[in-house]
Amino acid sequence: MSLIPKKGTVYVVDDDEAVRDSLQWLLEGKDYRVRCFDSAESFLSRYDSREVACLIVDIRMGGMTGLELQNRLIEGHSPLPIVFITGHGDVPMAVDTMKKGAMDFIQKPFKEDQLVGLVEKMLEHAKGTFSEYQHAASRDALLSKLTLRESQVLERIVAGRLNKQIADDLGISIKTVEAHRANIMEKLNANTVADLLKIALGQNAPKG
Amino acid sequence: MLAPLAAVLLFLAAIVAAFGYLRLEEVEREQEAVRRDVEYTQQRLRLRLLERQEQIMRIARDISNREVDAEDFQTRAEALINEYPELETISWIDEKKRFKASYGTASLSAAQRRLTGDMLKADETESTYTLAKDLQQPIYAQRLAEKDKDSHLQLHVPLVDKAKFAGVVLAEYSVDGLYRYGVPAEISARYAVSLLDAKGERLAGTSIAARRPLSGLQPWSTPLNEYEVPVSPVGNGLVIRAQAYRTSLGVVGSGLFWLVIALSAMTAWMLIGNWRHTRRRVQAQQALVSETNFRRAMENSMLTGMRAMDLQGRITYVNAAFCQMTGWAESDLVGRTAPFPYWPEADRETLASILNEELAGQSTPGGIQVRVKRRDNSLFDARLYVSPLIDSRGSQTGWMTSMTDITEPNRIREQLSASYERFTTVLEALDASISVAPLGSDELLFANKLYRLWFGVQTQGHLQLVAQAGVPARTAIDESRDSVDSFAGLPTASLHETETESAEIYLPEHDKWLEVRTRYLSWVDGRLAQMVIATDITSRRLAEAQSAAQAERAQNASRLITMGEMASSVAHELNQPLTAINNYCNGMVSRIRSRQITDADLLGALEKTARQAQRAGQIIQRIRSFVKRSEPNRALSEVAVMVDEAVELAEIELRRRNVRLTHQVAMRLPKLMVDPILIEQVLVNLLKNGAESVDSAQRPTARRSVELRVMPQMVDGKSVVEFSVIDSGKGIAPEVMERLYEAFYSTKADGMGIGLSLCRSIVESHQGRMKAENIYNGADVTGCHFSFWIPVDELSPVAGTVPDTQHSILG
Repeated sequence: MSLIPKKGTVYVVDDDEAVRDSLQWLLEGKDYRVRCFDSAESFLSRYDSREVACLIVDIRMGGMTGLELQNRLIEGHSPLPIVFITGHGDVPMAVDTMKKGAMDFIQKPFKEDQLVGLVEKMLEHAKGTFSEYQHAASRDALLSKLTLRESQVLERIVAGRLNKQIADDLGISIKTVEAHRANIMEKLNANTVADLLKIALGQNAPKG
Repeated sequence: MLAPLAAVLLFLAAIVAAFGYLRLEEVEREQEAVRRDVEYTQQRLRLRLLERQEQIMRIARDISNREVDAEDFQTRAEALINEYPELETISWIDEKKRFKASYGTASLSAAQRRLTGDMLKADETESTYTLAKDLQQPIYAQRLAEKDKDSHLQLHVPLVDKAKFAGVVLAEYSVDGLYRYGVPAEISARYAVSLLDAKGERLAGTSIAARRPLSGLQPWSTPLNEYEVPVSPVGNGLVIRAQAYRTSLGVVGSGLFWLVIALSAMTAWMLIGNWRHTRRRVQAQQALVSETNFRRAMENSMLTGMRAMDLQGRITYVNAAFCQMTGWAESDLVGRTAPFPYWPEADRETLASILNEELAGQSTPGGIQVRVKRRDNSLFDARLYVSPLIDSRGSQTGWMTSMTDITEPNRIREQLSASYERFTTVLEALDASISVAPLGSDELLFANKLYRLWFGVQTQGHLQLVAQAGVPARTAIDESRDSVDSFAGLPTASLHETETESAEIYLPEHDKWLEVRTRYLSWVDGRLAQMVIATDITSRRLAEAQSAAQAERAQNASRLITMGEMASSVAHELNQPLTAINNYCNGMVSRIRSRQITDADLLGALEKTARQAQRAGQIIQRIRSFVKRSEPNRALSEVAVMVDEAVELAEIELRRRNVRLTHQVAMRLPKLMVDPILIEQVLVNLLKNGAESVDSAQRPTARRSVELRVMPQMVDGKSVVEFSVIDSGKGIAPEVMERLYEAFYSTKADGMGIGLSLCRSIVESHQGRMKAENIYNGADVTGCHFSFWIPVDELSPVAGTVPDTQHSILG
């Protein structure tokens, strides 16, 4: 959880230096923190997922295209909201990106209000998804503390099975199950079974 | 030829033989004479000796008979010696070898005197004395000649006293005296007579010295004619020899011989001269015969008929050609007088008057044309030439007429004039103006109708055509090459064989375009003339101009189409600077509003904005210059510049299609004589096609590339610049490959099918060639390779090979 200066960070990826530079100029005028990359590859190598940020990317680029960059981010479960810059006649391609979860696309040349609004909206969204992402990340960290046996026990608790049944399943005594259960509760920092369930299910829950 | 020579030689041999024979006879006769004379002399000597012997023997007998005493002996000896001078001494030697008495001639030297009472000296005559005593016979002995003393001959006659030897009478002869008195004078006058002893020593007389060496050179000289005979009573002790003196006979004989030799030589010389003369005569005769044969053959082979007449008009001779022409035999014509059988009946009177004129010597030098009738009554035209026949003494003996059949020449002349007429008609009807004029003269040798129509009959038109057609072509070559005229140094005779110049010129006064071809030729009189053929090509020029305009329009349209096809790419390309400008402006506006901008920031942003506006302007400018309609303009163009322009245009499209473009241009490329816009058009089209092909093949990013390579090559020995465009697309399908350059054939949904066919026509209009081939990796098509080449103008300087300042800067 890093500091959020001003209104948030905007990543700009465009292979046209003028467009990149002018976007930076425009957005910095609106008190955004702007970081520019001339290619998708350099962006991926420098991207810090812990930051609350949004991404503006040109759909056409030499080397890795905007679409390919989107695919890579989806693969990495990145919460980064994306808006694509498109040229004239690239609308079919842009629609494709929307289906894959892009926030929006914006046609060159941009209208300032439209762009700023879009950035605002994305950062807003990013804040949400970012806290979710933070939770998920901490949950993952908690779950990773469990031993293999404890994970198995938790799995069965979430499945709604009784201690006795769990003991039968795993071929261990009820007492042992209870001990595991106590350890799990402690490790996951849960007070009730409902908490436990929430944490455990949140792990596999799809993100918005 | 050899026979006379042989005869001369034989004659010479006979002369020599006869001479030799006579000579031998002579010698033999001489020898005979010598022998006879010697025998005679010997006889005389013998007789003399015998007489003396007889007388001495008589004395001896008288002594023996004691009829004589010493005193008587002396007297008788004296008488004897006085009478016969050859006797030198007569001595009486008794049996005791003592001189009883002796008498000698007065001329005797003291040593030779025998004194009474002397003893016979043992050395000189004792052996002879003993011999005479033993043999009781008279013995001759020769006393050896002593030095400076005459030789002596001794005769010992034994004295017998009562059958007992009582000494000898010794008579001593002087051999010299014997010779002087014994040899007859006529003999010694003729011969060299000598008396010799047994050893061949000369005792008395003369002998001829050994033969002179000179006489040895005379082959006919015989050995010295000599003969010798022993004088008989003496025996071998005394030999008489006679040597014949050389008589004048030898001189006379050799003189004769030389005469004969000289005569023979003259005869031989005459004979040779005669033979030569004969040979020359034979040669002359042969020459005459061959000349005669030659003349006859000439006469017979000659196509001209010859007829000779005497002064009275009687035919004396006709040749074979005349007979053949008229059909009459020689025997039919010779001896005839007018009217001749070959005269046509109709022309008889005229011919007779012509003949009379001829005989009067009034012949026309150009000949007379007459009609002649053949034996078969057919007629032909002939020309007669008459000349007087002059014999060797210079007096006229008749007339010689030659006759030529001029039917064939007449026919040929007619044909010639007909063909000339045809030729003229063709030339007159030709739709090109033809004129011929000699170099450096105002004379017009030939001009056809069209020329006369256009230029009149003056040479000005011809000269104008030559000047207009010849000058520009020449100077253009000379200036660009800066070298000597390639025809310099060539003999003018070879000019008209090598050079046919052709040029297209415009005549404003006639409003015509003319194609003018000039050619050097040798005119009929041998002068070097220039022929100019001018063809009206105005309509062709117009058509060409139209088609050129059409082609240009098509090229222009094609460029527009290309740009149209690239419109979205261009829009995208323009969008970039526009977007940037927009962003910069908006940024500035918001900063100014919030009053949080420094002047420096504002200035930087404004500069950036301006740069983007320039960028947009450049794009538009480039497109405009590509699309702009321009006059076809070929000029020496830099390859690198054209490639850069084309690549920048094509990159707009390629960038949009996310296709990488790499280009590689060889260093030191020569300039090309091209229209740069058209070459750029071809390059843009090929690059764009490549990008489209890559795009439609949906290659992954790494394989989305188009490569342009430009490098010098050699094609068929010409140096060219080859442009290759290699894409990584899906290649060209085989069925498409065949129709690749067909107009209005396209594989693209929105393609018009103009691009490639136009590209090809552009390349070929620059004398280049274009080709396309797929690139295979195994059986898969991995791309396509389009290439075209443009020949390097031979005149343009090539960097690297020709040191040229202009290029060394560029290179």
